[in-house]
Amino acid sequence: MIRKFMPKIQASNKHAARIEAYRNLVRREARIGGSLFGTLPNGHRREFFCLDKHTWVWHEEWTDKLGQKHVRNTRYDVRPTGVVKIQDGRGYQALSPSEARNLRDAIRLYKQRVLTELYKQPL
Amino acid sequence: MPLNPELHTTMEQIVGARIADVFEACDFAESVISDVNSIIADAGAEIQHTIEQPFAHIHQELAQESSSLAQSADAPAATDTVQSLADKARSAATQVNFEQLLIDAQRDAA
Repeated sequence: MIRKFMPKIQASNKHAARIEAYRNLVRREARIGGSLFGTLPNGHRREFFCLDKHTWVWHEEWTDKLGQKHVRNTRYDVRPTGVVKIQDGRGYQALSPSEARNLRDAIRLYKQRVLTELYKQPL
Repeated sequence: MPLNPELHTTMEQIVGARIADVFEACDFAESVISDVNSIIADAGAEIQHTIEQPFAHIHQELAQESSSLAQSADAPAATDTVQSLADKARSAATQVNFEQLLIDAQRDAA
């Protein structure tokens, strides 16, 4: 009976392993993305990465002088008509032209660094 | 220790898929932001022109109306029309027999 289910279990394990491997790549990209914006102070963690074709994530964590931990999650939702920002799950905000340009520059640099450093791809 | 060939192939597929996703996401975002920026740049020049146009038209119409009003001195002004209506209403009221109206109303009530 177990032998009957073994292929399904193995297939399911393989699928989970593939997903986890893909996620590991995204995590490594996120660290590279976080380093695009300069050196970070101690106790400060920043990640920047693309989740999928339409979604970019900026994640930041830090501890203030009082020892309190702060987390800020910003999601950029790229739509054909423009980009909207959702910060900490609170409502959609349109990007200003300057913020949109900064995001575009960050994405360009992300592509360059990730593809050359992580995936050894020529540009 | 060399990597298991099957595992090697799997990893190759996963990395290939992720590279394709990164390219797609980056290119899409760049095209959207560039389009939006160019729309904003064009809209700046466009807005200036479109705001001026309707106002120029309105100013022109107002200028024409005031000159035509000045020319038609014989035509009754708006205030004259209102006054004549009020006069008509007053004269109509004086023609009504209120006393008779009250008598008729009392008769109906009884």
